Amino acid sequence: MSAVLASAPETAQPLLSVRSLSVRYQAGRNGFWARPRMINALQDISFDLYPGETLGLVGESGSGKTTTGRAVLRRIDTSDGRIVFNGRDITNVKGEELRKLRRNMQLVFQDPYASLNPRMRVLDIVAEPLIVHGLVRNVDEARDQVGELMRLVNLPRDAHDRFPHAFSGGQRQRIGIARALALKPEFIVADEPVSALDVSVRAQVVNLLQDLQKELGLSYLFIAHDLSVVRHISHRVAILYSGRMVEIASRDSLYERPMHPYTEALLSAVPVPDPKTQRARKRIVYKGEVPDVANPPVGCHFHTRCPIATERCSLQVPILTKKAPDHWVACWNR
Amino acid sequence: MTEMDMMSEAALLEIDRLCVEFDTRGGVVHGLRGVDLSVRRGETLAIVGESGSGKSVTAQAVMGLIDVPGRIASGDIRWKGQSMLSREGLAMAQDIRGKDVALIFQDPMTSLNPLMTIGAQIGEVLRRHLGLSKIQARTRTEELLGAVGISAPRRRVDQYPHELSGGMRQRVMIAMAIACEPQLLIADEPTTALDVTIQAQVLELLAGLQETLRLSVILITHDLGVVAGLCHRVAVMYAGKIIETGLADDVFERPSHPYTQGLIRSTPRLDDQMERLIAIEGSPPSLLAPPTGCAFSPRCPLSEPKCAEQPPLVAVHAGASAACWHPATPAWREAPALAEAVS
Ligand SMILES: Nc1ncnc2c1ncn2[C@@H]1O[C@H](COP(=O)(O)OP(=O)(O)OP(=O)(O)O)[C@@H](O)[C@H]1O
Ligand SMILES: Nc1ncnc2c1ncn2[C@@H]1O[C@H](COP(=O)(O)OP(=O)(O)OP(=O)(O)O)[C@@H](O)[C@H]1O
Ligand code: SF4
Ligand code: SF4
Ligand SMILES: [Mg+2]
Ligand SMILES: [Mg+2]
Repeated sequence: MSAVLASAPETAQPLLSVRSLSVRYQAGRNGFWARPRMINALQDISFDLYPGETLGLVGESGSGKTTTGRAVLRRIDTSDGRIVFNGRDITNVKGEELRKLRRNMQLVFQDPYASLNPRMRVLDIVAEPLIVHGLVRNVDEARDQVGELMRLVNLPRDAHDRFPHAFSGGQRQRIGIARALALKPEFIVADEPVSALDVSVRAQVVNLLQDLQKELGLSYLFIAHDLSVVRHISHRVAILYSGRMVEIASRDSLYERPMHPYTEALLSAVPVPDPKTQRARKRIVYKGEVPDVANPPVGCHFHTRCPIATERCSLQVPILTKKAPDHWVACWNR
Repeated sequence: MTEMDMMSEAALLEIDRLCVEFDTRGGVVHGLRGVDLSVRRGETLAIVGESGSGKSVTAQAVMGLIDVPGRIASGDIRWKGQSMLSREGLAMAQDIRGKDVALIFQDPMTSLNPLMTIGAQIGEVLRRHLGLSKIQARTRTEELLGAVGISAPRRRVDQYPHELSGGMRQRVMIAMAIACEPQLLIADEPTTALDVTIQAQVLELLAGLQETLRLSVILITHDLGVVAGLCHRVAVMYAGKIIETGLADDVFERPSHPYTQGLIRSTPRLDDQMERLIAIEGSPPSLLAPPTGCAFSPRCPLSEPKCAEQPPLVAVHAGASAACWHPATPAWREAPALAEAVS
């Protein structure tokens, strides 16, 4: 399959380039003698991420967002495709090389409650990556660096000696971010970093991520299903549907001129918190259900719900193609 | 007759200074700290507020689902003027719960029985509450599944919950809830577990049913967008109290309570480009030892010494009330984009 380029400022060198990435999972057997079933969680995904930029990754539950994040961080195996980071092919790096690579790419998790070890002090939690990677010998040597990290994420310095349970959700997410920043990465995958937080606390963390990007020049792959938050934080946005990328574009182009029928439906379905605007909006409500990833329809995965589907759609997979400057769409009829 | 009397006369459900407590290892959690609320016939009331503010406990109290280690410590819940908590009211309350008042939970999998076909589950409700025969119940079940937009209802009645998608399960829950033609439907985050496009389908369904059946609906959600599209009135909860109520249009246009103002401002909108979100610093108080004064005080830019005293929920303008010593005072700086638009 031809590698598709989805690129932004065509002059700059991307930090991360993903080409035709596919991931398969083994999903239980039907019986002992049966062959294990395979789920094509991700099929032929391509995108670029530029230094200092945020790429928003949106899609329904099960569409493959987390899988994408884990694959580019090399935390799961890919079945096909290429991942290039800083100009270097990292698709198959292993062992010590992979360990070094990981210093440069970090993950911020969705659940600030589950992702911090409750028996460790904040100081130990944030210092751990420094110790593991041999940058300091022990916690005491890490104190100053941890203090600096705490300042970066606006946590009180006296937070050092307390345990995670003594913090609110938003504060715990800050601890998670401080830990992710400890090794001075260039690239962070933030997998639904605000979904588990209270509405009134989300803005704190969104603002923090934006400030850190400006201060440290970080690049983010920002995974979320909340399209309003994604619009706020992203420079470019990619839409996944049932394991495939259906559209990727610069933010305003995607939100103001969506081209894929699924993106259109998705954007029209997001409620706007203003009664007058909301009543005036036209909603596109499609019949039908999201296909089962383990058993997707042939051709375009959206054809079972698409109002403009034609015969070709149920036979051939549409290819991501450039339709406007920095705007790529996978649809036969757009 | 005063305006107050007229309102209470038309009220289907009234909650009056309701306090609910939970005994936990850490001490007594004051889940509800004096909640006042009323729902009129045919209206859709939204309850919004952050996690732990008491939205679900309010619904559970109405449905009689507060169980050990919890208890209703004080206050009253009235159905058409009659107490549901008094000795005489208990039998009536038993009778109307599940029939005249129905509840839809956030996660359909926890409330559907995985071992029974959906037809059997809805049929059981119909036979118990309406005394239908087995055959009548099956016919009615098929009608109900059709009414909530499930395709091929005849085939679906014999399926088990795990064979359905999340959106379909939520529709089954709604079918079950409207089976007895309730007068009040309480939906506790009915779409949180669903994807946006499916969420839109379910909300459309609820709005349609509300109109055709002249239902009263209490919609519990933390998504302000959902409120804006669907609800007539809004009640905002914070730390176990209602801190603001009013018509949805009013509350969005001129929120009175600083928390409501902040909540609306800190929510990014699809149709609005703010350079920076306005964040409410800090987090809600623990309900183990709730503050005696205004619970929002530690996070409120307008906080002053008087706020150490609990502000009562009082009328601010027609139909709107707020519990704040400085209601309707702008508490947060304008967002840059908004300020520019004004100048
Ligand atoms: N370890 C695994 N084994 C088998 N299947 C898996 C595994 N992890 C994910 N899947 C499947 O792969 C698909 C994509 O999952 P993924 O977690 O990437 O989705 P997501 O877009 O992150 O969804 P969500 O919004 O729910 O987090 C899903 O169908 C999921 O069930
Ligand atoms: N069974 C219980 N035992 C102890 N405390 C409880 C129990 N149920 C609720 N609470 C407490 O009562 C308070 C209100 O909880 P409630 O479930 O009503 O919140 P909510 O507003 O529905 O939040 P969410 O948005 O997370 O659903 C919380 O502080 C909660 O911890
Ligand atoms: S390829 Fe066909 S089915 Fe798929 S989105 Fe385009 S028109 Fe619809
Ligand atoms: S009572 Fe005081 S602290 Fe509470 S919201 Fe009003 S001004 Fe703020
Ligand atoms: Mg995920
Ligand atoms: Mg709840």
